[in-house]
Amino acid sequence: MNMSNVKNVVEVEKIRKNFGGKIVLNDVSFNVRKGEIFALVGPNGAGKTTTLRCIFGDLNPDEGEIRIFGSKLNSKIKMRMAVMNEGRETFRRLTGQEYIKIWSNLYPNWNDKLMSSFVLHYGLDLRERVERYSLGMKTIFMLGLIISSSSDLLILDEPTHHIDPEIRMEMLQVLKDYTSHGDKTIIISSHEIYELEEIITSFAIMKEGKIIYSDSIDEAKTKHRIVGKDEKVHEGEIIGILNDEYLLRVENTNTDVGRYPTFREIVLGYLRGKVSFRIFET
Amino acid sequence: MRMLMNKIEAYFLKEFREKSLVIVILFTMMFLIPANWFRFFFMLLIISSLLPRDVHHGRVHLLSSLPFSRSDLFWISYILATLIGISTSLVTSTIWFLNSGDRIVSMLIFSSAYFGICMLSVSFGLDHFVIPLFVFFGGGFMGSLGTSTTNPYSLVSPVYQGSKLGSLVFSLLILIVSWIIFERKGAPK
Repeated sequence: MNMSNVKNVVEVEKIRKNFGGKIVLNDVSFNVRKGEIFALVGPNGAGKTTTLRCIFGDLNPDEGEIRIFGSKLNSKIKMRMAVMNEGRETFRRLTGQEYIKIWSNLYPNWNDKLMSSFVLHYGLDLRERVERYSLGMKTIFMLGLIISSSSDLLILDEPTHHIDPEIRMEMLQVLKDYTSHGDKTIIISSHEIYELEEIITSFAIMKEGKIIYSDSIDEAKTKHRIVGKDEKVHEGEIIGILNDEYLLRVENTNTDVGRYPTFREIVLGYLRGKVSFRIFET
Repeated sequence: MRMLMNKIEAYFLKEFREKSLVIVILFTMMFLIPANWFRFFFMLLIISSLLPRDVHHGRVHLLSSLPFSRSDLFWISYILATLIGISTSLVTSTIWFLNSGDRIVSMLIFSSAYFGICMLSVSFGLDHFVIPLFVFFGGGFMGSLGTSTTNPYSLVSPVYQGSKLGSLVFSLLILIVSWIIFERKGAPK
């Protein structure tokens, strides 16, 4: 198989994972196509990190199958993917320079010039131990390493966590530019849904270890509407309640009911469902 | 081949920077006290501080998120352990005028068996040092019972090594079983 022609870069098929009898992933399935920025969104504890750990081979799923670039994970495939872990844990006692030495050894397409630009722009001290960087600096440094690896697939767990809003926007733009030629793919896991709409092309919503909805951004917007609670509608299925509005899934995508939702409204609608919660009576 | 060397270099750099103090202290102790029981005990401490420690403390994801397969990690860490064992055997045999060949082989047998035992222990979610230490003392006690004709275990024991060939085969068997299990199960957390 010519791996450069594989359309689905990642195929996750009905994976299940238990930790000590507790079901963490329950028949999780989704595909990520080449050139996409795919977001795995959901609340804390939904199973996003466990799914990513199964993809990069840190955990074995109990059932189901994962294929990357059309094959099961192996050493060669791992050289084509770079991973950012959620906790920003780092190797102890290693300086920035030593980290770069390790990464440049392990990634055949390492781009030293790109890493130098990151270091200069964000004023990173490479003689300092990485464990002593602030959380924000660690995140920036790790993103620098990941981008400079020039990997075909990036797996990023909460990549904008701990960084200032201004730098966050820069980082999101860097990620968007990374995929601009269509040959690189990114999977992002995040529970910060506000900022993702600008860069992602497709997504899956996870809740309680399951994928409850998966689609491309454009398709998802076409298939849903936001309608007021007082508005009378005769078609579609109510997905969730958003304060004084409903997220509606419509059969006829040309309907003139309501307005198109934002990505954030789609995610919140699916996560909240039909149960509304208010502490204070109105 | 070049990629393998790069992986070995990256892994060794990480281990020597993170664990240099422990490795240097134990390395020194091993050639200051050349008696077999002590050097085996110090070697067990070194082995348990390598990959088994990272797996036990849930830090192996830092390595598995890099382009290391589980087999890469297992065998590169084993290579590091045996290189440390062989180099201490060479140094001690030179200083104390001992048979270096015999000491290298006995250390290789011990390292292979106890690297396997440590990895088996952590693969099943158990401790990286205490369980292997019990096995070390338990195995030592069992090997000391009777003679080689009445106690065949003393022939294959990785500590007693009544028969070099028998104990080498037994050690390699433990090592390979632990590799297969680590490859299949991965980190338990």
